Amino acid sequence: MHEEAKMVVVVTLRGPKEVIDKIAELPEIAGIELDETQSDHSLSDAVDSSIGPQEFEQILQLITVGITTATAGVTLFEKIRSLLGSTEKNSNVAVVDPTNNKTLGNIAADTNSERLASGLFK
Amino acid sequence: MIPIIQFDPSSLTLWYDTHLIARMRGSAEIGKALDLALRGADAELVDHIKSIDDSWVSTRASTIAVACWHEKRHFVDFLLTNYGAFRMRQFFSVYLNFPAVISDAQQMGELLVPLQSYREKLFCKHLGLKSPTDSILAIAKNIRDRKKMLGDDMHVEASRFGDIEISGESLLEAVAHHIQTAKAERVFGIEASHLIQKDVPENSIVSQRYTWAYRLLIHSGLINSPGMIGDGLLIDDSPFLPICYGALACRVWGQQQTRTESTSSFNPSERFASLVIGLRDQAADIHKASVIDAWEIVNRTAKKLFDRTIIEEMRADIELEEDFVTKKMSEDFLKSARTAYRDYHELRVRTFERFVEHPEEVLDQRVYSDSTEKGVAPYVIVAASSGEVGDPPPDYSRILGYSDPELAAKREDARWWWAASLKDQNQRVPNRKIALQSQEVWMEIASDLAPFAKLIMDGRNIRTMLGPEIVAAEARLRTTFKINLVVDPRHAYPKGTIPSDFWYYLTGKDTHRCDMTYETVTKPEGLVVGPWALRLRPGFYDALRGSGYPDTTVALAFWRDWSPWFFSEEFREQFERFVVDDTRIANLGN
Repeated sequence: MHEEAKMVVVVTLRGPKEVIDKIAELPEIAGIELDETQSDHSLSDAVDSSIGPQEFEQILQLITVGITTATAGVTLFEKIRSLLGSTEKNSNVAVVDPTNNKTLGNIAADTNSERLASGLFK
Repeated sequence: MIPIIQFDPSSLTLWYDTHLIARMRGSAEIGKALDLALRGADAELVDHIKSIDDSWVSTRASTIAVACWHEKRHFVDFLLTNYGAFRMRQFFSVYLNFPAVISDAQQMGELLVPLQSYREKLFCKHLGLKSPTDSILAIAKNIRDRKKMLGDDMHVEASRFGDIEISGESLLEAVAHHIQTAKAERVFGIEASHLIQKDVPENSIVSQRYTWAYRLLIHSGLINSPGMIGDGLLIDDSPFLPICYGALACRVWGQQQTRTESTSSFNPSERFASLVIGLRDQAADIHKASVIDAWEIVNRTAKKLFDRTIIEEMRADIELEEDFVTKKMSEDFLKSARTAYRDYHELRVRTFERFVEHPEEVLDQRVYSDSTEKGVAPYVIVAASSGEVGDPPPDYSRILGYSDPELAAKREDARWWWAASLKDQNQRVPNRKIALQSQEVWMEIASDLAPFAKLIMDGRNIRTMLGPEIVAAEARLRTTFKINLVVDPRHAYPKGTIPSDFWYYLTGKDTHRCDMTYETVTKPEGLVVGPWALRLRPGFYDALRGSGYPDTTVALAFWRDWSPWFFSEEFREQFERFVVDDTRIANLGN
């Protein structure tokens, strides 16, 4: 993760398609900038083999987010927690550093949003 | 999991890994069964299987033959169905634009892969990337839109049999699985077919992946199931392939869709659901219908639901393709890609015209198994995942390999091949009825264009039989075209692990030697590490270099061998202590 001069923390959120699509549609949040969503799915995979087929993989999607303050981060993460609460499955959204794909944290129903957001600004 | 045999839609080729087959018990018998299945020599295949004494080997040899029929059926469905043609088109849209992408990337001085990441302005700014040209952005949008369409088509639903996926991909799998099972029964008999169906690493995955459509159609009342035979499901299958083909006849050239609250002509999952609903009031008729009658019923229902029969939908798709191939594919596009696309289109037209007159040859598993299947002949590529030192046999052409510019003249182990294809398959492979004609350009696609397209569509995050194809494409962009290639770290390598029980299943052996300590490891112990996972721990490579062997020998062996490695429990602990660091993947071994 890299903090820019304006203290914008840029992270990528990786999660189920239905959740990421809803994040992209959230009403504007002060201090939050959202990128276009992208699929995490491969388009060029070979067709599945009948000897040793792949297990189902959840369809994941990415959205990159610019967060200018910890407070804005808390607001966003709380909204995501609320979205996760409304899905049928016990899903979560990973917070990933886009420069190295390292997972910085996870947003789930029991996540402490303040701790997660402040951790990003340390 | 580890692919042993697979159909690669990017070049419409069938690949099998001869090195993995060599690791199996009875590999010679298994290899011969595969060869006979590839040639459509059913009678010889049966004799061969009967001649095998070891029951595990005879079942595995049959399983490999059946897997070959499965993959060959994918070739037919990628040719004939609108969905298959759509999946093909995604590759051609990249191949045709290859010169433009290279020229733009050279102008920019760098290229980010996968291209779709250029659509993320915040991300690009954060990584300090240069702005892409308009044409790169347009290709990025095309890739993004296609991924979105495939994503929208995938519906994972909970059922009492576990999660099931309804999508164009899973319909292709359901069709191929149906054909392999039906043909196995016809060629080997029902008892052997049951053994083959059980010759899988994990039954639940097979059930979810391949048999969901039976269960759903039985549950919807469209397919009759007289019950079970042993633990196998009996079905009256006449409507099965007609319904699947109706769903795969999707409308994906940006045309106007026909939609109501409960129906849609668009993607395969929506069409499948629409047909299931639309056919319900004809359940009694379709139950007792022949394949041809069931096909008629599905066509009539489609006309009612989507304003087009399935045949009309397929014809409309082929006409749009014809328009593109004859009028829009200008000489600015890459010549080899144009030649291949024309070859594909011409075969598609021929196969479709035959299909219109004789739908039973494709939709009736009995006719397909006994006759049509024997003439299905995709080009075949032999892979050697460990890297075979030297050149391929004289009657084979190298598709993928490496020859060290400095060392190859001095050392035998500095030149090897990972993939090769039999020359002149048009002449040497008998009975090529459903087959492409331009082997040379398809092999050029498999060796050069497909790896490049995969890289720009997905970065390194793809399931492919041979990792080096991606790494070689990267190296070519960097060295030949002098492009600073940036791989989006979020798509830096394929995920996935290989359970050790899969390795025991695959090889049919209860003991293996640890590749590092040479100690004997007994089932179920051990750790199987895939080629990417090995390269994710550069400390492991450094330790190999410090193991006493000459540096060059280690470097060449490590770079050459892209097969899975097997470790003892003792070495597992050591291996897992090496830190994961993906930044050196592309440079290891150099």
